[in-house]
Order: sequence, then structure tokens, then C-alpha cells
Amino acid sequence: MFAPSMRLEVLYFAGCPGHERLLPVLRALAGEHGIALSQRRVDSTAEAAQVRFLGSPSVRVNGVDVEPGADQRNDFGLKCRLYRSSEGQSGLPPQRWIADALDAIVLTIDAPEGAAPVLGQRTDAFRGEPQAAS
Amino acid sequence: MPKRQVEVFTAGCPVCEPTVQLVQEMACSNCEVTVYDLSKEGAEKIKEYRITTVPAVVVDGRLAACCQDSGPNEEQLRAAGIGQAAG
Repeated sequence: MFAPSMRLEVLYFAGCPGHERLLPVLRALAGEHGIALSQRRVDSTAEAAQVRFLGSPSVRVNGVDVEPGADQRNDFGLKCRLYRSSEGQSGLPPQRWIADALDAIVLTIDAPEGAAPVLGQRTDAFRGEPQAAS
Repeated sequence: MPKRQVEVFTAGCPVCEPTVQLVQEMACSNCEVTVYDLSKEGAEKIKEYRITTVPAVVVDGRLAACCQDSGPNEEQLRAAGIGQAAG
């Protein structure tokens, strides 16, 4: 499978070393989908606000954060991010979220013209189980 | 007089250490400071307080207004009640 219009990106900052544990997973997923993985280091609070950085590591597919509901948050800054899912709590996003986000984009690319959802406007339902509220 | 309960959440990350140090420096004699390293403990409290990033500071069961940029600063922690006797 080759999807040249897909982008997989990890944003991180040096104060949180956890993103390095995520890189092998991201590289494997990028390989499976035939896309490149890009890394962006965020170095200042101003830059964090500019790129809407919610903490390290943050993973985006085509510019969209893989965590359901992340687009509603505005607590940008240089800090370490925590993720809660049905799998528990972790300093890394569940691999399933990333895979689902990539698959959703592939499905959209492959979908007939006019079919929803629109590329880059995935919904929680489209990605699978939403994050638990509590 | 009840003690002010201060909980600091870290993940063994370099960026967390200054916050721990700051809270400990600011804490008054009437403050009881507990530091949780989330790589070892505190998972239930993270859920309870709805903490989404670290470092994070909870004062008397309430998540302090912090972490909007590089982590809690002295002004934010003082506003949360650290360094003052419990009310």
C-alpha cells in the first residue's frame, strides 16, 4: 500500500524522553503504510502554542492528533503528555489509535468521490472507541 | 489545624524535577507534600484528578491551574495555596 498524501508526524520536546520508546512503533506503522515519518522537536512555549503542542509525545496523522477529542484542548506547552484509554494509562498513545487514524485516512483516500468522512476530518466514531470520560 | 495536602505528579522526566524542587521549597510547615512518580505509582489518582500532563500539582484534592506552558510556576502554586496554612 502506498499513500503519498499521508503524513505521520511525532512532536516532542527534550524534557520528555518517552518519545524515543514510541519511534519503533511509528517506524513500523509508517513502513506498513508506505509513508515517511517526520519528527519535530518543540523548543519553546511560543512554538508550543504556535503548533498547538499538547505535550510530548504527540502523534498526528495528516496534521490531526490521534487522540480522540484532542482538537478541543488548548493547554499547549512544554510538558509530558499522559494518555488514558481502555488499555489503561500510559505516557505513549495506544498503538491502536495511531493505526486507526492511518487506516481511516487510507479508507478516505480509497473511498468513492463524495463519500464521507472528508480527509483530515475524522471523527471519534470513525476511529473506534472514544476515550473514557473518567 | 488540618494540614494542606500537596500532591506532585511526575514521570521521572527532566522537566518534572524543577517543579518538585519548587513545591518543596515553597511548602510551609503545615503542608504535607507527596510526590508520585507515575512510572511506579499514582495511576488511580491520575484518573481521579483527570491529569493529562505532567508535571502536575494537586492541592487539597484540586488540580492547580498550572502546566499551561513549561510547568507550574511559583505564582500559580502560591495561588493554589502552597505555602499557606490550610483554611
